[in-house]
Amino acid sequence: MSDAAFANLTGEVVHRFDHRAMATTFTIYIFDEEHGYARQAARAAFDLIDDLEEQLSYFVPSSDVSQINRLKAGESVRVGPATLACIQTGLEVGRLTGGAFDLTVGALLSGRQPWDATPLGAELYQPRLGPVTVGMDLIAVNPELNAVAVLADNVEIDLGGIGKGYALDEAAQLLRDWGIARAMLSAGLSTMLPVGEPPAEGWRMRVIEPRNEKQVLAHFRTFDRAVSTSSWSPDQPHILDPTTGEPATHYLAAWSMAPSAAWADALSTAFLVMPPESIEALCRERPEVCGMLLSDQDGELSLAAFGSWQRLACELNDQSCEPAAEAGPTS
Amino acid sequence: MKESQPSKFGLPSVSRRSFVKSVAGAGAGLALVQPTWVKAAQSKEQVNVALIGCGVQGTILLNWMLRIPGVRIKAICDIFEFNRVRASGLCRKANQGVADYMDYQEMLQNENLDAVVIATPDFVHAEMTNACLEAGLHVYCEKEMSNDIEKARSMVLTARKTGKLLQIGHQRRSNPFYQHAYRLTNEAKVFGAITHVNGQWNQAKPIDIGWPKRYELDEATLNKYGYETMGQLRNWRWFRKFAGGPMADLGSHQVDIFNWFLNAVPKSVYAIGSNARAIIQGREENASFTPECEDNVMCLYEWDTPEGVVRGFYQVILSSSHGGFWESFMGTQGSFVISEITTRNAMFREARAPKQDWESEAEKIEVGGAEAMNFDPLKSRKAQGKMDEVARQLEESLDKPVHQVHLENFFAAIRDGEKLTCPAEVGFETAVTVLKVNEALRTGKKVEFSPNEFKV
Repeated sequence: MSDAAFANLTGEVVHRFDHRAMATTFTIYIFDEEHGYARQAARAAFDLIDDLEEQLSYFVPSSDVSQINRLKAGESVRVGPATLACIQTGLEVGRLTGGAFDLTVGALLSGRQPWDATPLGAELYQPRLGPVTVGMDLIAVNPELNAVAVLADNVEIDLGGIGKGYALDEAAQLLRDWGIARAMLSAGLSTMLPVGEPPAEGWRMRVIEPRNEKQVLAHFRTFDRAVSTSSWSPDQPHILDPTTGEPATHYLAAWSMAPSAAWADALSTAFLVMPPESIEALCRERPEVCGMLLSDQDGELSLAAFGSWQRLACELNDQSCEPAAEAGPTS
Repeated sequence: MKESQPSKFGLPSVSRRSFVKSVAGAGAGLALVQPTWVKAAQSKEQVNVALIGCGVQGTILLNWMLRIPGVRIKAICDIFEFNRVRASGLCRKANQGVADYMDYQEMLQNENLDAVVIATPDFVHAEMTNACLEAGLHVYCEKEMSNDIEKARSMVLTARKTGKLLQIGHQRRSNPFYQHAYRLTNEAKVFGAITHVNGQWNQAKPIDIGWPKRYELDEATLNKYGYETMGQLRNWRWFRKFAGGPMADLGSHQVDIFNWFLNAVPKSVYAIGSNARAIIQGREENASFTPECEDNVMCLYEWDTPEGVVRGFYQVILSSSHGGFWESFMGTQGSFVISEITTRNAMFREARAPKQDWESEAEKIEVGGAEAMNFDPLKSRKAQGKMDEVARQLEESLDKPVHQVHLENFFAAIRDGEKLTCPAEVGFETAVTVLKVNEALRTGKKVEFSPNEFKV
């Protein structure tokens, strides 16, 4: 764990702690707290994330996920609450997005690096050696027994699209138990989760061009909701479209906002392969969820926003428009 | 993939085409099967368990216990409310409502239990274990059995007197990979006569892990349970009153492996070490206390075995994580490195030793510039000549969590009479082996063990 303290623009002391886990860098910013106490709380949160990695990782042979992935058709295994929660959330997001999120589709990628954060060469995308069976309806959950079953042979799950978000949710709860009044948690800057009392104006977030982080496309605010982004580039075909089994290439990037980081994490992955009409319908049905898509059509960037983010797009498309709408607290 | 027809959002619309479910396998006629759920325990098979001590290690054990069919967590106990809140929350998420207690004696009076798992600080292991055994319960107690040899001895005696099971938490004893390596060493004699052993556990640790302020215990409560401060409660491993030092905390796991694989207890030990670095680190971190126990210990052990004297070096360092943790055994025909983190495992054959018939299957790897073989148990099992049985055992449990298999052994012993892999007598031998190091550190002299010291 590395740590640092600095003052932000308003003079508030910010303590920053970084930790590698799940093949990404988790960062915890704790505000207005004694540094030693902030460090102890952050360390406890990182220890928790490490414990979760042992249970959720595709790459740890003794993890729940690996044990599920060794099951044959009809077999089941008892798993821990964390794994069960991730799978249940994944199934729910899968249903809500019409199958755009699918925990079993990652198995199609061969030569993957741990989780999905490490760059993958395009040449690594190829149908995996050996048979793979894909489909969320091949996973069955029995919450009373804390058990997970697979309904066909060669089914594998990968929680890479949801586990980091879940880890942030659990870390946030631990920090609240430690009495941390205000913090911001991040998993590799792709998913962020505010904790505790937000600044009076909310957390001001920037939407950046994934290929050029200096280009700010829009601003938005969040008070207590998690935000997440997924992006595509030819060098990193790490997200597959469950409807085609091929890398998601429709949009440059997708953003999501949701009450939990697990949901935000999964939704940004799903949005990257969903038709805009479906995202709009989903955000209407679930007002606590927002979405955004960025596309590049022959060099022209286009940003579409959904739910309470709808006015955001004008920052990019029409610089003279009003500032972006704010997303208020969800409570 | 892209369609040129723009949607009303000015974005390319996504083409939806059905994706054949089976990419390379079952084909279009994929048949779904009905799941066969893991068995819910019948009431007579269900083992009702309580966890005493819900800190770091207790949470690890709880997490894996929740996965074992037929184990029902009925109660959790800890003097620190924060630990109780976290542990009972974890049980609730796994649909196991639990009663929570601050006092284990009250819990014993109120709950109808079959067994307890104890993961409290070492200095209360004996008191709690003895009370639970006397109450007719089977006990899984974390290592070290105690920070006091006589207290550890009392646990063996109580287990014998009550006839109840007492498993000590040296989980490598149940690890199928270690069991395999034991058989390769002692039955197949793949490495010839073992002459030297080495091991280490290097792990940089914070000095003061702190505590959530809102859960702070008052002084009277702390005193009641033997502590003066919250710093002591939360960082008990740094205090001689509560702990046996780093040889008991970490070294014990590995020195236990030396004794096991050598089928012997040591005859002597030299040791050096100090807490100087921890004191400096504590000041740098504004720790709320001064660490008492060593932050580094280095030991030289000797064992008498039927094949001659075996000499071993062991180190534990808490200021550096370099090199991690592993054990190695050097024999006249070859050597191997083994660790709970199996990616470290490797085996080496001496050039003069005959080639083993399974070597052609072993993956060749490079370790320190020298050729080695991946110590893959599924490949090297051939060396034992009992392939079928060994393969079945290994494949069933090789990739299970390391603590879960040890707990499963305990519960199988309760339900089915399976033999404990680390009964009290074994745990006691290891406790003597590591706690006597503290005498060597204190006196600066070689400590000789008498064979009787290991007997109860």
